Amino acid sequence: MATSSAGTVAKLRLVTDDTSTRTTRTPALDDSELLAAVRAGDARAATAFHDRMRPQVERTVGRLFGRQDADHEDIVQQALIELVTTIDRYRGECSLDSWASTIAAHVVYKHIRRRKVERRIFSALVPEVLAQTRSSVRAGREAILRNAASRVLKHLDALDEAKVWAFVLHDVCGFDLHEVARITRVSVSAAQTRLVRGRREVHALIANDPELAGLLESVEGES
Amino acid sequence: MTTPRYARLAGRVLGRTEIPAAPPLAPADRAAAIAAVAVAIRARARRQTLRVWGLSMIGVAAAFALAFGLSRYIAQRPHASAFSGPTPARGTLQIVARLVNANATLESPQAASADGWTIGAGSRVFAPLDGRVMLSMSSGTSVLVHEGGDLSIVGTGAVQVFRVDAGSVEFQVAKLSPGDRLLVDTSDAEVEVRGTRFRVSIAPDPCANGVLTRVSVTEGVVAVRRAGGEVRVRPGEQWPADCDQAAIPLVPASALPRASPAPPAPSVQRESPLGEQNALFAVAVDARRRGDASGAIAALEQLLSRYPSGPLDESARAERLRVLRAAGASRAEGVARDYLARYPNGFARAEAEAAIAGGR
Repeated sequence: MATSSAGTVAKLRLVTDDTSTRTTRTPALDDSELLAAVRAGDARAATAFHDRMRPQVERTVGRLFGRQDADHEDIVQQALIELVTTIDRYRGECSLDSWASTIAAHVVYKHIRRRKVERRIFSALVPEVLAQTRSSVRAGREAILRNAASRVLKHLDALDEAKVWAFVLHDVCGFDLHEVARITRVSVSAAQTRLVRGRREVHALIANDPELAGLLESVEGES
Repeated sequence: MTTPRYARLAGRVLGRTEIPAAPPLAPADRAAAIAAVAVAIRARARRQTLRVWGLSMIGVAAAFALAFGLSRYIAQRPHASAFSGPTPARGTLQIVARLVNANATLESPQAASADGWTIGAGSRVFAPLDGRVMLSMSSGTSVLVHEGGDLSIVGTGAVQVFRVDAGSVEFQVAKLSPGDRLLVDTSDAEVEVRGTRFRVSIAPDPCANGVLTRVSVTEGVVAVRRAGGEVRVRPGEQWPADCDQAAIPLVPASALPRASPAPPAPSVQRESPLGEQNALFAVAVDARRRGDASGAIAALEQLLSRYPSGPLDESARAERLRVLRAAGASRAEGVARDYLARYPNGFARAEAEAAIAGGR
């Protein structure tokens, strides 16, 4: 029985052990140990590998594909398996997260190109973009941002798919040219050409849409 | 790379969109996802093992195939090599010379191995007057230089070139690799191998057409070129067709000793005629010191006949005179006159005059 310093009796308070919300974690392995274990074929590293890689994969797939698509979970799982099978290609030239992101983006890229319908990048993303943008201080500005993003996405649908991919991967998702080339399986120079032309076409489309151009100008002016 | 303005703004707007964080995975979904990753890890390990095993098997199979091919190649070579060492690479043909008849001796400043004398391009082979020299080549080709024959080895690369200056030389040629050639030069013809077994001889007297070379083919076909023309000689045929091959003596008449039995004539390989002359002279001197007048005379005769205007001509004639005088030969007087006719003020003038005076 414990007493407080003020002399009042402190009661024991029972707290429920909410195991359903607690995730069992395996002992942490650093990245090099994790990679070595997977390369050695140690299946006991599966849990650590999953927990380490999944967040980055989720982020990449979510950004390019959205979370509301029926194939989302399959794509994440495919990306995790792809990470295992291609692990020998990772030689530490970039961070493990960057590499995971590149592999996940490639899985999305392949998946979208294989689809019979809804083959456009971001097509599943538009509703989510409309549903939520990074919150700003003012609700009005947030609405403008959502509106501008959704209109840009619709314009992208009119462009050549390869150029849109280059533009989105590079200018939106932040992949460098080598990563864009790796994701889309083209040479770096081809990726660069696509990017330059894609930007030019995006600019031309928006320039022909004065309302959207004004929206973007206003968003830029407020930031 | 400058980004057009609206493209840059569009990229920024889209980049600022935030996708809601993924809800936590249900334990069952997480377990299923981890199980799938574990399966992938095991499958990858299995593939790696199979790949290593497959590569190993391919390596073993390739090694077996190579060993089998090599053994077949070696077994199918028509002639076993006389070399005990490793087979030399193409372009570095090795040749071992050895005497065929055991009674003859072979004089050479170069030490012989158990197999014989290892020679190469630039060497010259003189068969002794009472023996033949067999050349065994690493290619499997064998060449028999008959008694008194004179064979030069000119080239041993992809194009093997031999030169026959005297006597008779018999070739048994192993199958040539694609691109390889074997040529035999004489003073008035060139013989190129198309077949396997043939003989090239130099006759002491020309045919009616002035040709000294004689070619007879036992197996296969050879091409004989002369004066811009080419003739194919087939098995059983001879070239020139209008010459009597049977009349060709195996030994050049000029090299045969007239009055003495065949001495152990030298057969040496040299890379220059001067070296050969020195060797022949040394053989003669050595024979005289051993009391072998016949051997000395034969060597000197051979030297004089092969190099009638060589730098050792006067010395050889003087030495021959001394040997004949010492042996009391009646030829000494004639040899002395011959010496004085050639060298009236030669260093052996006194000996020559004494021989003539003694003969009278």
